[in-house]
Amino acid sequence: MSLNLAAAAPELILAVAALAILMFGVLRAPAPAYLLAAGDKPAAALAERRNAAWALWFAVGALILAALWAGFWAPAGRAFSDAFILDGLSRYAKVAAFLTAAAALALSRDLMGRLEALSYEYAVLVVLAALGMGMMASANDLISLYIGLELQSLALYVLAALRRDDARATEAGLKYFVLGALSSGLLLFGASFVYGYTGSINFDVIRAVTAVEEGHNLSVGLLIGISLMACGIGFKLSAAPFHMWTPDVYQGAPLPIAAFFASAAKIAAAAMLLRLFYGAFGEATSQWRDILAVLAAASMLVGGFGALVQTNVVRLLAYSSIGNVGFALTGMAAGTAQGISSGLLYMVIYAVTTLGVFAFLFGMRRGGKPALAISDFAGLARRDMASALCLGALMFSLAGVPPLAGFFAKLYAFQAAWTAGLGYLLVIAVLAAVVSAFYYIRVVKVMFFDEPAEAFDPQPFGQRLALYAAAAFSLIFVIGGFGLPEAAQRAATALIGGGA
Amino acid sequence: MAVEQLSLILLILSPFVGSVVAAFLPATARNSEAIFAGAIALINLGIAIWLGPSVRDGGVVRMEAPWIPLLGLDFVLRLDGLAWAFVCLISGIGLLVTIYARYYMSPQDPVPRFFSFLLGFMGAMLGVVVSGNLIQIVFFWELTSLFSFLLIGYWHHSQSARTGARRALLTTGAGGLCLFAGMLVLGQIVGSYDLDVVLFSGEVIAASPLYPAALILILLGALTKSAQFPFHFWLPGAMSAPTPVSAYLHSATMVKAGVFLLARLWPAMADHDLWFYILAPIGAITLLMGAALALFQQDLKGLLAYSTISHLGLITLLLALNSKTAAVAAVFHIMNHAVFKASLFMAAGIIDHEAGTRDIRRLGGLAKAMPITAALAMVAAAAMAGVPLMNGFLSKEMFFAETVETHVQGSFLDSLLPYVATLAGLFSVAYSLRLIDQVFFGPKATDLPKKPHDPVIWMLLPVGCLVLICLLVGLFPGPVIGEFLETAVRGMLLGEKPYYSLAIWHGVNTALIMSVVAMIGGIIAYVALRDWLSGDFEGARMPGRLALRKRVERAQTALGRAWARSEVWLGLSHLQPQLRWIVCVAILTIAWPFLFRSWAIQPGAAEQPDTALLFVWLIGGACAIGAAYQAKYHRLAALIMTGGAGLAVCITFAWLSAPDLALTQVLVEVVTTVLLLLGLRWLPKRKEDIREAADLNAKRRRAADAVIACLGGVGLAALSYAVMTAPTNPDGIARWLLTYAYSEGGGRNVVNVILVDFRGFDTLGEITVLGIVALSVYALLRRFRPAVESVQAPTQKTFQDKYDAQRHESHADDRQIDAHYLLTPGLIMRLLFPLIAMMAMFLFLRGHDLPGGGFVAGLTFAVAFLLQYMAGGARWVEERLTILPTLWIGGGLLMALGTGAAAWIWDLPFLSTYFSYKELPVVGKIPVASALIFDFGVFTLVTGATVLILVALAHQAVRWQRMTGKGEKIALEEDR
Repeated sequence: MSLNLAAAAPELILAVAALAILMFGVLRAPAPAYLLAAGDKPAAALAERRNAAWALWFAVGALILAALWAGFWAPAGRAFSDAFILDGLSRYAKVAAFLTAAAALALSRDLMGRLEALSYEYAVLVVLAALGMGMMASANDLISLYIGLELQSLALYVLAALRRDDARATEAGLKYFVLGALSSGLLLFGASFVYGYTGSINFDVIRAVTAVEEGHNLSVGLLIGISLMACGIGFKLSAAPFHMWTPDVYQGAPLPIAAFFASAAKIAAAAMLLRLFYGAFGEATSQWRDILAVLAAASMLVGGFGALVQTNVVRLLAYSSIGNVGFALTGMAAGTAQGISSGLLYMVIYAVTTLGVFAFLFGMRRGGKPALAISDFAGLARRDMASALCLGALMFSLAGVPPLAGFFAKLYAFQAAWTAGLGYLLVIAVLAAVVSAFYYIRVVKVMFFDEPAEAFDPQPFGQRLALYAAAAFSLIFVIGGFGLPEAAQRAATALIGGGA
Repeated sequence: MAVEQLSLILLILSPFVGSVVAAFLPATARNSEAIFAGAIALINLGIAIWLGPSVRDGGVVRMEAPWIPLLGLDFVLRLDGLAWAFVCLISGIGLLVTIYARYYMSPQDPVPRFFSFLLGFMGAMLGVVVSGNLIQIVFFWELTSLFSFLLIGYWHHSQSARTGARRALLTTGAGGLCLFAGMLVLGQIVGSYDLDVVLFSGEVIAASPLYPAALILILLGALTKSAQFPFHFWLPGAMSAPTPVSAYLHSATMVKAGVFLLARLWPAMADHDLWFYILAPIGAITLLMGAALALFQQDLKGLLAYSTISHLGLITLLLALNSKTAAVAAVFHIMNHAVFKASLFMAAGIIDHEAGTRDIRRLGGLAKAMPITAALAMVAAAAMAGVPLMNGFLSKEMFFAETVETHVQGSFLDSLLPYVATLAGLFSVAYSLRLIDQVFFGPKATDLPKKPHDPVIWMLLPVGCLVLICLLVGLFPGPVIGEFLETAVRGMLLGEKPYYSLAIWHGVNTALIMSVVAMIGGIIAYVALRDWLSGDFEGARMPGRLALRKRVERAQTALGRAWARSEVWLGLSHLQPQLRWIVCVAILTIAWPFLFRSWAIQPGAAEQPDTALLFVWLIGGACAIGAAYQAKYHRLAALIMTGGAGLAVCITFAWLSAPDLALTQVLVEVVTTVLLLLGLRWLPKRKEDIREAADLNAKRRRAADAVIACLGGVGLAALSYAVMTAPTNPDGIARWLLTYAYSEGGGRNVVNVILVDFRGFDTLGEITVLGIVALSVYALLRRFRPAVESVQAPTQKTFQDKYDAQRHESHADDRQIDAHYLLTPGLIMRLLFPLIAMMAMFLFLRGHDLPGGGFVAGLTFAVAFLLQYMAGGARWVEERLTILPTLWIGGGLLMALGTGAAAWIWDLPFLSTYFSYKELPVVGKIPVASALIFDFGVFTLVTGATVLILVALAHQAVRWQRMTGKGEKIALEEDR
């Protein structure tokens, strides 16, 4: 019942870092352009760029430090009078989210510079979003959950529309904001119902109250609350039928930000979902299992069939993320410890894989212009065998082809759903997996067999390295899985205790 | 034992390691590549032979290592007789294929890639056969699909290779996923994925209600892999692969994986009627159709591909029969077919290589040019046709004998089998004959791209080896193959060995008669059809309706198009439909418990509502609907009506004895409406032509939206009603607040006490946000450039200006004119300033006990400024009053923070309160609480924030004047 700041140290690091970068940016900013003589302008622009780069690397450092702190040094416990909790689940989610955020940020240095979108505010926003993600993963009452979510969302709204002078980005940002605000409203509305019918905002109390009620059916008001909160979270996860913003935002936002959306943001949303449904409503599994199952089924189908007709790689990845969220939800709908661990595992594997693909997309430019049609992959194998092989591995991993990491992700998820008796969901899952395998493999086919198109501009070393690392991850995962399954299992035990 | 297990690991590992190494050898090193790959195959063959004694008599070599403990999965390698036989086959034929490939591949081909893929494939295939648990089988299974994809598409410059590879991968890959699901189901039934457990659980499996699901899913995997009807279409397409690949994948290994799996699971799954009723028809159809179509192929490899399909159908049929002797025949035929088909593919490759074409019509009379090849091919073809003294004959006799037996009593299919078998035999004789006759005999071909001759000895050697095996097995089956077959059979049947005889001559029995009929019939059929077959038609494919391939592709495009259309139809790429969609889903979510959980609104908890209040509500509702309706075309009207709805809410609060809320509500309404009005003035004008564009579609859309909005509104109202009339929680927070508001917070106005005391921290947060919002509005409007058409003064004002100008022609000064604008109301507004300020003070001071408080007072004070700006304009006001809203915001926030922090001085937590009453001259007793200072902070900040927004809007007018050059005389600091 105290502040217990030590448990929240990773968040504090991020908060301080965000403020520090902001101050740094403001204080070091050169005078506004209209006050400068024409001769001074290039120097000012250079200084601004340099500042932005410093801010970016500082943010990357802060994120890595926060991840390490969350992973190793922060003592488990509760903070802020039970509103905040650091346990296995939040550790796992934070390390994953912060590290993927750091990776996305570090990789974006080159491309954001080219897009002239590199500014110190960008770094600040990413750090703030990460801070919100940490809060989401650690929330132990409805209010801290909502605050974390909104902190993340607000930062993401701005990030999506970071390139104000680009029509597509503006449209994406507007859509994301309007729909996001609506879904936040739904979530809040649901939360008020939950509070009204359980009499508390604290997850432990809510859990105790629902445990009493589980015997006879849950009160309908609480059920409405749960459903509405599921809608809100579904939006943040981009699960169908709340997925519509995804392709537009992925395509409209600068690519690194789309990568950030697809990796860190997804992990945090999944952690929040687990925290809420397994933590607060963990005693009413039978009540929400079908809700998640419906979201899962719809997402898998939308992701699978939607991607079939895409010609743009980024839109393809957007639909892929919808579908993959569906697969993860298939596991998470189980309502068992296995459901938790499979969901966590799925999200991390997906995030790493998709980051690898994005790292390559950053460099898909010809003569300085982005070339992001699927046909631009044509004959990549003959120009750049190493990249083509790595990308191929990642595509196969996304499709869930056995030796690769994606296969294990699906294996765990399906296993969890099956054990929980969600057989009908598995039928849809298999169907969707087959359909989605088709479009991933189409990319591979284009890369390996089509007549080669013009070569891409040379890629920075970092991006290539990320691609190789992600491919290596998905290849080597088969041996031991980097301890991820065990960590996910620990997270599951922390959340609901006991084994499967 | 340890050595055996190590050798198992070596068996699996060496091809994969080899694959990686081979990829990095120099591109020109054809010899070393081939020697390297061959050596690995040889090592594996050696290991297999060395392990032979351990698995004879049904022995099993197992190797375990923990793999995924979370799922209770171990990495298990398990070699029994059946697996052992396959290992021999895979590595033996692999060895021959590498030798053959060395001479087949041209120097231009990127050899490292080829051998790397080939070795990878070999490893995957070995993995499938020696896997000791179900998941592991799937794992390697998908790997074989992957490598076969890479191998088939090896010559990626050819369009047909690319489509062939893609189709093969899609079919077998999708099948693999089904297999995965099936294995999960099977594991679920048995309770373990370990093969040793699964194989001995035949009864449990057959009795399970999940059996059909498991069976169908697993069969989908096996049948796609083995190219069984209706999934056979990928195999002919895969013939565009280099011939060594076809010889390896499409005779001995990849396509055999399907039947291997059926044989593997045979003891566990075959004992069920469904097994027969699904597999037998598929096997029979494939057998017959493949054989028939093989006869009509013009491509040499196409002929062999269809023949392979047919032979695999034969094996499937044998396995379907659920008889142990049939199983023996199946295993035997798997071996025999692998041997003769591999040699025939290699021979076809030689012909292609040396003659430059594979078109049967163009070839002819090659026996003279390439006698050795011809001789070898003839023997192999004879084995394929099932001519006596060849290995094919033995297994075919077994097959015929099995079809004659009765397996399922009274089944029509069962009695039909002998005829199907004979007919298929007839076709196979015919196409074998055609292969030999039209390629090697007849008139010598004249227009061949190359001059044919026998190839180098190294290319013939592998073919020779295989043909020799055909002959030896055919001549001396017992000594040559007996032990090998027995090991395999014992492995498959879990140690049992049914009675069978490998003798060449069984006397005249039904099987022999069938053979003879097939033989003679085949010859007659070929002779009859011969001329027609050489005619000018392309190789027959599956009859149109059966060609699943086309259908699959058409379905893909149709599906894609349907999706695209549905997306357009649902309009999901636009914001409005997206919003509509989410709102609909939310409405459904809320409606769902009402509809399905029989949750009804309880009537009567509240008393009969007042008629007057109802009337107010009706007006409020009408205003709200009107506002929504007008929002698109008449912003002003919509805004006014929103205000009306707000007033209705305000009256409701007052009616229900919540004066505090009513007061706040009315002030908020006033301030926001005025600010919005000021903002509206700078928005672009409406485009008049939009209304014309409002066609029927738009009207319909708007009507639909109206319906959704009404549904949502009514739903929300019902929901609120249901919640509010539900029995309240006795321990709810309201009671606590009412009880302790005075004793703990020192105020009788509970709302105010909540704001400044109980939830003081929240309020602190809120006012911070308010301050930030005001600053953001200011920052945004600083760079705002109004639309061109709204830069002019409003119409009304121009009238007034004109009028004033006419009356005061002598004073053409701007400021004078401004002074005359709205003279009387302006005067009243100016006079009101002190009164309103007084009112604000009053509201502020009484706030702690009676309706009022810092927030309300702040808004009221802001209204005073608002009136001044409206009456006099920005310049007039700012010349006379020092307005520093940013300072007020900062000061207010600091004051609130300071009050909270002051508690620390007395060692109390942040925001602890103190209160008492003090006697003041004139005013009387007033409450002095620390909350009062806090509240003053709130007051200052709210005033500052509202005024800042007001200033930001008002300065637009000043800026406009400066832009149009009217107001240059009076400099007004723009960006303060």
